[in-house]
This record gives sequence, C-alpha cells and structure tokens, in this order.
Amino acid sequence: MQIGVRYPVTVVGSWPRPPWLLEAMKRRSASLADLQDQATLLAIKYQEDAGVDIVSDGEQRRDNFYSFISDRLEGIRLMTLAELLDYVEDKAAFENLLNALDVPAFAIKNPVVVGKVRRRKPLVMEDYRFLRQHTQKAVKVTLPGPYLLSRSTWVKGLSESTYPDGDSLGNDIVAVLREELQELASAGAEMVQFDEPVLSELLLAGRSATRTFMCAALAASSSPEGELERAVSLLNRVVEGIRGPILSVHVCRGNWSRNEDVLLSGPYDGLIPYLNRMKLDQFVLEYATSRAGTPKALAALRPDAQIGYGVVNPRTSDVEDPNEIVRRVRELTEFVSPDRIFLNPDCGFGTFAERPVADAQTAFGKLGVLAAAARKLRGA
Amino acid sequence: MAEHDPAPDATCDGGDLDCGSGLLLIIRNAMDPLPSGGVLEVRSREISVKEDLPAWCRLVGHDMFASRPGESGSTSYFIRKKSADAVLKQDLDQARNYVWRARVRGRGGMGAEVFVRNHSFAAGQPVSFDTADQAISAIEYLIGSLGACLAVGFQWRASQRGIKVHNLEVALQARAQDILVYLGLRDAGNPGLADVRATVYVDADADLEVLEDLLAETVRRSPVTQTLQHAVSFTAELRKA
Repeated sequence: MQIGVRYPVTVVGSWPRPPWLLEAMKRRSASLADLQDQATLLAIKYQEDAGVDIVSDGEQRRDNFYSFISDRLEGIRLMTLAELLDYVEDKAAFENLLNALDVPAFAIKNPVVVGKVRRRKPLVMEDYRFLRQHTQKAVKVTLPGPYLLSRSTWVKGLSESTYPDGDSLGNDIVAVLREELQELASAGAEMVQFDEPVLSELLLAGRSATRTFMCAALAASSSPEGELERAVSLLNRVVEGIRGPILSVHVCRGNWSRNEDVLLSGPYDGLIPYLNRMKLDQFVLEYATSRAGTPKALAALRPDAQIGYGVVNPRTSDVEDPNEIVRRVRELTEFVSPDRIFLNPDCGFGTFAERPVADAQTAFGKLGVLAAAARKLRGA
Repeated sequence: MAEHDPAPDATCDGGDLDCGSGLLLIIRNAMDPLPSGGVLEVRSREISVKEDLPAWCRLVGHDMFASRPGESGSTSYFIRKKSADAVLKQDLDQARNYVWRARVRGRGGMGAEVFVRNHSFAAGQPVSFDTADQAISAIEYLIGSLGACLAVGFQWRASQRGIKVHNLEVALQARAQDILVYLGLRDAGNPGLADVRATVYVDADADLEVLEDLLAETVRRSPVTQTLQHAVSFTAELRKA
C-alpha cells in the first residue's frame, strides 16, 4: 500500500474523548451510539485540520485500546480490577500499580476470558466503515495484538475451565484477529496496527519488576525471551498470507501517567531481533523521550521495514518545535532511508478513556507540528 | 399495610443496619421522647428488617401498623408506641460499657491465630516486608481494620442519607517512626506508626461537598480512626471517582 507522500503523518490511535462522551459512557446513556458517532467526527476533523495523512477514528467507541473486545466477542467478560483481585496471584504487584496510578481498582477494567472465544460481531469493521464514510484520507485501524490478548485476558480460576492456559487460548485469538484482518484487507483499509504495548515491558522490566495489569497474568517463571518468541509466532500466524494494508505493530513504554519517572526506560536494541522476524511492514515506536535511547538501534532493523517514528510526546503540555522534529528525523535518516519513515506521536492521546494524557487542543497542536515538520522534510 | 396516612411524630433512619447491629437501640432511643400512642417512622434499606422489626414490636408490645416504600430503596415502617421503655437507659449503658474480646493463640515461630466471637484468622509476624510472606502482619491488620471501619461506616452513613454508593475503595498507607527498634537494630526510638493516610475513592450519586461531609462524619464517628488519631497523624482524603 502506497500513501503517496513522503514522511506520512499519522496517529497511534486514540484521541481524548469529550467530557460529554465520558459522562454518557459512565451512565450508559441510551444515546451513547449517537454520541460516539459525533465524537468520532470531531476526532476525524481535528486530525484532518492538523494535516494528518492517515487518520484513525480516535477510538471514541472504546473504553480503552483493548477492553472494548468484550462487547464484540463471545466468551469474554469485562471485569474491574476490584473483581479480579480475588483471582490474581500477585496481588502485591497490583497494589503497587494502583498506588502508582492513584486510582481505585474499580476504575480499571480488563477483559477476561470466561468461555469459548469467538466473534459475536466484528471487532472493528463497523467502526472502519464509519471512518471510511467520513474522510477522504487514508485510514489506520488499530487492533489489540494477539500476544496482549492471549496473556491479559487469561486469568487463573476464571479462564482455565475453557482454556487450560494462555497458550491454548492463543489459537482462538489468532482466528478472531485473522478473520478481522482479512475483512479489513478486503475492504481496503490502508493501514492496520496491532497494539502490543507490553513487549517492551517484558524486555525492560525483567522478571521481578512491577508489571502493568496487562502483564499481571504472566507466571513468575515466564522468561522474557520465551514470551517474545511467543509474540512473534502469534503475530505471524495472524497476518500469514494476508496482503493489502500496511501491517504494523505498536510497542511502547507505558502511556498511563504524565509522570515520566514511573514509565519504562530503555532502548529497543534487545527487541530488534524479534521485530525483524515479524512478517509486518511497519514498527510504530516511541522516540520522543530520552527514555528511548538513540535511534541508532533502528539501523539493525530489516532494510525493508518501515518505522512509525514517535517524535512528539503525547503526555506533555508543551507543543514541540517542528525544527527539532526535523532534526530528529534527519538523525534517523543516517540509519534508515527516508521512504521508510512515517511520523507519529509516541502513543495515543487518550489510551484510557477516563485518564487521557492530553486535551484535544494540545493533541491538535502536536499533530499540527508533526505535519509542519513533514512539510519541511518533504521540501528539503 | 398503608391503609391510612401514618403521620409520624418522629423519624429515624437505620440505613443498611440490621436489627442485631444496633438498629433497635436507635429505634428505642428515637421513640423514648414520644408519649404513649405516639408514632415513630423507621426508615430502613435492610431487607431483614421487614421480618425482624414486626417480630420485635410484637415482643415488646408496640403496634407496627403500616409500612410503605420510600426513596432510594428505603422502606418506611410506622410504629405506635405502647408504653415507656423502662430498660432503655440500662441497655444504652450496657452498649456503652460493652467489652470487646479476642483470644490470640501463639502457634510457634512467627505465627498466631486470632479467635473473635465465632470467627478466627491467622496472623504472621508483626512486621513483614516480604510480599511472598504466608500470613498477614499485625500492622496490616491494623491499617486494614482502619480502612474497613471507614469503608463500612461511610456506606452505612450514605445509606442513611439515601445516597447510592456504586463503588467505594479505601487505599491506606502507613509509615513507622523507626521500625528498626522492633527489629532490635536500634535501642532508642519508637517503632510505632508515624502517620497513616487514607484515600477514599467514591463513585456515588452525590456532589463532592456532600461526600466530603459524609467522610468527615464517618471519620468523626469511627471508633478505630478515633483511637488511632490519638497516637498518629491521620489524614483522609476523598476522591470522587
């Protein structure tokens, strides 16, 4: 799939939801579907006006980037961490996380496998059609990745009567995602992104560190290497033989706090051998903060791989300087040819509905700066 | 039973409290100033009250002559007073002088078992830093007890005011003055708690000011909090979630 411009500007997915949408979500308003449509139109308009080349629907219909699957799949129930506390083995790790987030356990929801997983209705096809209908731009559709889903939704005591372990769950997760991807490819989606945020956590947090709740289901004995192998295999099984959209994966270091000190730190070097074996076109990576190290690590990526280069920080109030972004991109072009580079923020602006990391005005400013930097780079 | 307008002379609200947990004392105290034949409206959201209250009225001779559904899931019961409650003062004094008891059996090593009424629970060493430790430490019981006193107290007082609480969570943090004294690594100093912080997350159908007022009242009337407040710095902060 060709986008037709150099340095295409895109987003990682989510857009901050308007307060009226959050209120309607909380109260399960009868007009929720209409309000989600309106909020999606706003998210599209902001992106178009900012000069984004590949737009998303802002994930306005989702509570977060992966919990929404509970509405659309059989065998999955959305549970709060308060409900899950009775089941998770490492309760102390959960307490550390809740304490760092300063949130009650009842405010965080996680989809949990409680029966045979299959599609009740498409995960994102209806959202894709609405987006397509309302923009002339190329579109990006985001889907939770198979590794994240098979690990975060499997909870001992709730899931094991259907699936003895997360590995056996993987087969049905792959089947669901493949079905969705095939439909998106047939419908002409320009870009599909699988969100696998915890891959860097496996590598950077090590065996004993505090894990996010998405990783909490991992057995203490799991090795990071074994888990990364598993992620490669699952992703490859999902995309095997499917062509059309730019297929990408997003890996991040946490986007749940504006306090940079509590987010993961470290370069991607250790991850590159695994990324290179993923049969994907693009890797959507974070490079906007010093926590990521230098882009030199990307010299080791497969020469045909595109990079979704994270060059604005969605969590800061200050809008970046386009000249600084240009400088950062030129730094990358020392290792990667310009035709392989896409520009995007590090992560979403509203990964978790109730805890967006930016307001719409700031997010709009940051996307505008990305577009301005792209224009400068194209003119050069 | 709502065959005529009950027109009460006084009202009391038990919220979620059941008859075995002090509700009868509240009712008797509210009825005490009324003359014989006076009517007390008792509001309650506790389902067991529907059976237990008429039974108690029959026992003591009051006439529970009507009931009707009220607001926020509450039911109003109307009781006509028979005669003065000769033993109320005595029973209030008995409640005031109640002595709580626990029996704790050392189980060898770093373990103990606690027996209270018809319950029992295991306790580990007073202080533990290890998340893999098998038993709950005494300090954790202490702050857990404080949190439970606040959580249940808040829910009950909310129910009395007809406020629906969808979710409630109390997060507690405590620091010791010098825990090395307990470990025998220091001789001088105080191993006791220095401060305890409670964050009370509430998702309820009420304004922030109302909930903060409710928390202040809960703290003021909480036996565990008021005990600890004499000894340590205690703060409670409400977050509307």
